[in-house]
Amino acid sequence: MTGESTAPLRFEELTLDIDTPQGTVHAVRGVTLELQRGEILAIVGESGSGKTLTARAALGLLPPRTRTGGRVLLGGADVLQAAPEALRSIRGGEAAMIFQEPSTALNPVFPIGWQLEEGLRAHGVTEPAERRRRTVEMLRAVGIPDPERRLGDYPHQFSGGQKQRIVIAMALALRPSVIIADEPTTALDVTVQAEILDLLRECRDDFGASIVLITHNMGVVADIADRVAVMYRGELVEVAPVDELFRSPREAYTRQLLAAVPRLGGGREEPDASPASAPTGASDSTTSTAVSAAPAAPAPAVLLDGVDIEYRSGFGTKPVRAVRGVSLQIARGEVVGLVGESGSGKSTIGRAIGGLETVAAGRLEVLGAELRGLPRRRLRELRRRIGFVFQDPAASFNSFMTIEDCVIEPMRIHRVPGGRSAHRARAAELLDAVELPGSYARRYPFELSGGQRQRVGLARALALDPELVIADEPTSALDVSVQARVLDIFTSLQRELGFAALFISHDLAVVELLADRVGVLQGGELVELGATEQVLHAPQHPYTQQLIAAVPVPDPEVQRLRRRAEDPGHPLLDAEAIA
Amino acid sequence: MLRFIFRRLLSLLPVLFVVSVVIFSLIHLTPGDPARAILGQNATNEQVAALRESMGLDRPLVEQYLGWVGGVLTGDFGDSYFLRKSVTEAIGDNAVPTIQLAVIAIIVAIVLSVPFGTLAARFRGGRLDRSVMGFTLIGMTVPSFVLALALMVVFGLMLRWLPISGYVNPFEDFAGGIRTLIMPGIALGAITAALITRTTRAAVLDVLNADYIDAARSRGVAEGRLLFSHTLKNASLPVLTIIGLSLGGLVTGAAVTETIFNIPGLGQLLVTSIARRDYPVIQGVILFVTLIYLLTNLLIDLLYGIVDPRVRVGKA
Repeated sequence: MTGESTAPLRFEELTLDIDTPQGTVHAVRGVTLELQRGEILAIVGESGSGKTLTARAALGLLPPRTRTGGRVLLGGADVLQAAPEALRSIRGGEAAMIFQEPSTALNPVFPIGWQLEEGLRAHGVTEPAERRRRTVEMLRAVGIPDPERRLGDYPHQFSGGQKQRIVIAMALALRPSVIIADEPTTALDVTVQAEILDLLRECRDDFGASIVLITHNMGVVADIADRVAVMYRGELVEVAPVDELFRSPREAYTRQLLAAVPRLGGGREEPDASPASAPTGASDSTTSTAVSAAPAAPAPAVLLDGVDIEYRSGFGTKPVRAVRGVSLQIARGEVVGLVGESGSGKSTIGRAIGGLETVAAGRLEVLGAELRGLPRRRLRELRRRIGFVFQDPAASFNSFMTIEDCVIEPMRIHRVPGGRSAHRARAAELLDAVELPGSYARRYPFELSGGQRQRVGLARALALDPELVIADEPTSALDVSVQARVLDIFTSLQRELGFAALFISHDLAVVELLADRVGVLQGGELVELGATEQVLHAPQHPYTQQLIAAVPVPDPEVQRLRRRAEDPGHPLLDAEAIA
Repeated sequence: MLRFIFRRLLSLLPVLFVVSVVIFSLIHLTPGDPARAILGQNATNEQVAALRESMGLDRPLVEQYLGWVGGVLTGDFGDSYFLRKSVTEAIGDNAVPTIQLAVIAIIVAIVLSVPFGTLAARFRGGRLDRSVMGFTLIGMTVPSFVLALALMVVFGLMLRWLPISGYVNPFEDFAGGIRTLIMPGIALGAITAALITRTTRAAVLDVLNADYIDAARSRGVAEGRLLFSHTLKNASLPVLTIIGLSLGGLVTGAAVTETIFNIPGLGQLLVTSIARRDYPVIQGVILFVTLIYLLTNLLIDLLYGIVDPRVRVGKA
C-alpha cells in the first residue's frame, strides 16, 4: 500500500460536535478510516452511533451548527476546508450519495429526466442534447426499461425499487470515484433489496466506484461488503475484513452486535413452551379481569374463512381488493406470524382483525364474535380484549401525555374499576413487566429511546389483559440490539400471560424467533401456511422459496456460497452444511 | 382534461342554485320595502301598495323567485329600481374597476410576498426573517381603511405623488389608471400579502427540510437554484390555496377601499343598493361575485394539477 495518496477517501481524526440548545453533542470523535480503491466499506452501528454523519462528512453535508475537527480527504483535498464552489464540484462530481428512502429523495413535482439532468447541469454539461443522451444512458445502465419514454415521468409513477435505481443513476451520472450509500435498501422489500445490492456491486465493478455503505443490516454487510467498520457512540470500535469480523470479532461490542442479529434458520430461542398452556392472568395483578376460563371448547382467538377486504379509493372507481380469500386460524395462546412484502395485505389483515377494516366477503370471527355486522357497542367491548402494538413507536404516542398516562389511557377509556390509584398501580406493574424503571412513568415519550418507547407500546397493549395481541411490525423501526430485547420481552410475556398473537413482519428471521406458525402472503393471497420450522426450512410455495433466498444470511462465507449456488430451492441447506 | 373542466363547470350549477335561493330569501325576508324607499316617507299606504303591485312585490315569494330565476337563465337579471338601467349594465359598469382593483391587489401581494417569504425561510431566524415577520404582523392587524388613509396622507397629501381619489380606466389611460389604482390596490392587498408571505415562508421551510433538497444538494446543485427552482414549485401548492381563497375576499372586501378612494366599483354598488333595497341589483351582484369566486377556485384547482403531477386529473 502506498497509503494516503491512492485512497479515494480518507477520514483523519474526524470530530463532529453539534451545538444544540441542550448542549453540545459529540456526534463523532476522532474517527480515522480509509476507503480503498474499488472497495465496498460497510459502516455499521446503532442509530446515534455517528455512522451516517461520518459518511456525510465526505460530501460536506452536515447539519447546521456543526463544528468540525480533523480532515476528510477526498482525492487528496480536504472537504471540510473546501470553499463553497469547490464543494459544489465535489458533490456529485467526486463523490455522490444514495439515500435511504427513495421516495423522499426524489422531488415529487419534477420529471425524473429533469432531476437527472440537474446534476449534469450543475457540473457544466450545458448542451441539452448531450445531457439527454447521458441521462438516457444512465437510466438504461441501472435497468430502467424504456428510458427514452420514461424521462418525462414523475417519481410517483415508479415502484420503490425503480425509484432507488433512479437515485443510483443520479449518483453515477458524473462517474464519481466515491459513492456514499446511506441504508440504501432499508426501505425496500427483500427481493428488491437483492436486486439493488447487485446493482451496487455493478457500480463498483463496471463504474469503478468505491462505496461506503451505511447499514444496520448484518445480512447486507455479509452479502456485499469487503471490509467493515463498527461504530459505537461516535467512536470507531473496530475495522476488519468482512470474513474476519464475522469469524472472530475482536471487540466485545462487535460480538454483542453480531449476537443480537436474528438468523433465519436459527430456530426459536427455547424449544417451545407449550403455546396452548392455560392463561395465568397477570399473576398478582390487582385488576386482573376474568380471563376466558373457557366454559366449553373455546372458540379460536381468530378465525378467518375466505376473507376478502377491499379499499375504495373514490366515488365511481373500482375498489382495490387488498386481501383475497384468506383463511387462517389463530388458536388461543398461539403466536402466528404473517410475512409478506409491502402491499401484500398483511397489515390490512391485522387491521381487519382489530375491527379497523370491514370485510367485503367471507367470515371473520374474533374471540368467538363474528365481526361483520357487529354492533358498535359490541365491537368496543371486543376491542377491550385485543391489544395493538404499532410499527413506529415515535408516531403512536401522544407527545403531550406522560408514559404513565399513555399506559393508563386504555383502562380509562374502558372504565376499568378501581379508579385512578388502581390504574396507576397497574401501570407501574406493566412498566415493570416490560423492564422499564418506575421512574419513567413521569417522563414524556420523546424522552425515551425507540426501544424503550416500543416497550411502553407493549405495556399499553397489555394494559387490559388482552386475550389477543396484534403486533404490526413492532420492531422494524428499531436497531438490532434493541430489537432483540423487545422481542425477548414480548416472548416471555406471551408465555407468562398466554395471549394469542398475530405478529406481522417483513423480517422472516424475527418471525422465526417467536411464531408457532407462519403464514406467507403474496398480493393479498395466503400462499403458504404451516408450522414455522416447516415453512422456513422446507418451503413448498415458490414465492416462499424466493423470499427466503432473497434474505441475505449474516455470514459472509455462507452468503457467498448461496450467491454462487443461486439455488433458491434449498437455501437453508447450504447454511446448515456450513454450520 | 376538457371533460374534467366541463364536469367541474356543471358542478357549479347546484352551488349557484343554492346561493340564488339563499340570497333571494334573505333579501326578501329582511324588513324594508323598496316601494316605500322609492316613494319616500310622505307617500300614503295606498300609493305604496299600488306600486308594490305594479312591481310584483305582492305576489307569493316562490312565484317572485321563479320569475327572477327564469330571467337569469335567459340572461335577464332584471332592472334596477333606481338606476334607470338593467342589472346587467350596472354590473358591467361597476365590475371593471373592482376586478382591476382586485387584480392589482393580488399582483402587489404576490410580488411582495413570494420573494420575501422565500428569503425569510431561507435565512430563517436572521434579521431579514425577523423584519419580514414583523411587517406581516402589521399587515394583518392594521385595518385596510387605516392603511388607506395613511397612504393618502403620505403619498397624496405630503409627497403629492399620487391622486388621492377617483378612478381612471387603465385601458383608456394606462399610466393614469395605474396611478389611481396603485394606492387602493396596496391598501386592499396588504392583508393578503401578509397572509401569503407567512404561508410561503412556512411552505418553503417545509420543503427545504425535505430529503430531495438534500439529495439535490449532494449532487452539487447551487443553493440559489435549489431555493428557486427545486423548492418553490413544491411550496407553491399551499400558496395557491391561499390565493384562491383570498381572491373572493378581495372582490367583496373592496367595498371599503372603493368608498374611501371613491372608485365606482361593485362594492360601492352593493352597499348603496342594500341601503336602497334595490333587490334586483343586490341579487345580481352577489350572484356575480359568487360566480367569480367559484371560477377562480376552479382555476386554482387546475393549476394544482399543473404544479403537482400527483393530483393531475385522469391517468397520464
